[in-house]
Amino acid sequence: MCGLGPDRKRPPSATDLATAQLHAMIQARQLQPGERLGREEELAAELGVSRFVLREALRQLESTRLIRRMKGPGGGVIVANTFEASIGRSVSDSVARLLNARALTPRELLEARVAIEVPLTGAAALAVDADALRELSSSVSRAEEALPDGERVASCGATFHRMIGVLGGNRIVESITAWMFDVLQPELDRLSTRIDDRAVVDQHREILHCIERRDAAAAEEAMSHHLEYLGKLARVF
Amino acid sequence: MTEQVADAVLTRIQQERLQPGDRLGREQALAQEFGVSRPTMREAIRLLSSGGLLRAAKGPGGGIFVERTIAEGLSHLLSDGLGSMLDVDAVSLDELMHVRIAVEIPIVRVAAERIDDAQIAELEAAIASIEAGPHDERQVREGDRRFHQTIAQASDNLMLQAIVGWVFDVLQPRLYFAIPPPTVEDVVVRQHRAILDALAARDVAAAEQAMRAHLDHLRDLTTGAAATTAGAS
Repeated sequence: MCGLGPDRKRPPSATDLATAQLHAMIQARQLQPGERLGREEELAAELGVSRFVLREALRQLESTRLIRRMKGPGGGVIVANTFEASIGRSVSDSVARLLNARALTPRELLEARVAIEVPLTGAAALAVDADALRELSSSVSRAEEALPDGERVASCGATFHRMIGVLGGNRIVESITAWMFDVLQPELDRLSTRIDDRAVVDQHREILHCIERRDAAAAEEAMSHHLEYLGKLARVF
Repeated sequence: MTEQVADAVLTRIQQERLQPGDRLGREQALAQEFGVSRPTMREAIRLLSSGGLLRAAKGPGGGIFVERTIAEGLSHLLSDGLGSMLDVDAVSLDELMHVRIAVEIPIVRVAAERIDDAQIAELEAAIASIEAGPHDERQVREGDRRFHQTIAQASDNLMLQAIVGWVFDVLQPRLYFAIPPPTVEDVVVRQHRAILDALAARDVAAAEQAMRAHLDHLRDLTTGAAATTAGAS
């Protein structure tokens, strides 16, 4: 909770404060996903709050996918995701729900994806280094080797796109655009009558070549063409 | 099950076009209406409340209320998450400025294609409000917020609006704190006017260029302010 910032209207509740303390604790101890924060009674004592307040705070953090609670011996409160990944996941959860309720349309989402991902691809072409190129290239090769296993091709494809988000933006850009691959892409696949995985892999390779040449304009053009292709297959554009 | 009920409640809000402040009903009545048990309904409401979409009020006249619009709810999630990271120094202002550039440039491009005359007038008014209040920090901030939010609305895309809302909830208040307004006002007014001129001409490339100049300028100021603070401490 950002209940402590200068911008909040309502005074923070005890739960908000406990949530903020838990965030601070995870950051101070540099806890990684899978690592243990402690048991509920220990945490309540450490923060000086009641079990009830602690539970409400944990419930809040669980709903935003930052922690999970494990029962039994060796259980307790476990860090589920990094801060940025938890933001990405909770946004994806929400986007999925809004798509289900038709409060957001596939067209709206794809349009937002094109608007954001095309310039990111150009920025990636300017920012790329040898290590990043190797990783990008290996994700395209893995997709190619995975043919005709559609699911594995899709998963390598998502990795390829996510890497562009990190390269052209940063870890936060990657997480706030995760819905594109967690929610929108599966929806496009579902709407498509046929999916030509070979064509998708070829398009990824073309984008990769443009990034390799550090040709931002060509990289943007190639990404734009790729997304338009996906939109047409799904009959969204 | 909880997920499905939450989806059904959301679908109803959407279909009936309920607005923030509208009352959905009492938990018990909702459980009956959706044909589920009360604990299931409670969980579904909790799920939607944690996303900032609903709010439960106790007492007479209480019940379940719509707290935010869809775009605001999504935007609230991001503001909360990024605000928490900033609070515990898990992300820097500079990183967030980079994210802002990655979302606001695309938005101004889409806006340049779609903005209508009423929105252009709204941008004019926002700039006038910044100009009129060089000594009134509140008015300057409000004008600034109105300016950027109107551009987001002009994109006519809920997802784009949602993905940029945190800028004014989380980032901008800290920027104001880091950068004393009097030192930047003239430049910022000029930059806002350049963005407005490009949008009024529906010139996508010029709008992008003007927005980039504005955000790069803010980013330089932020980096400068961070360096000064670090040097002083």
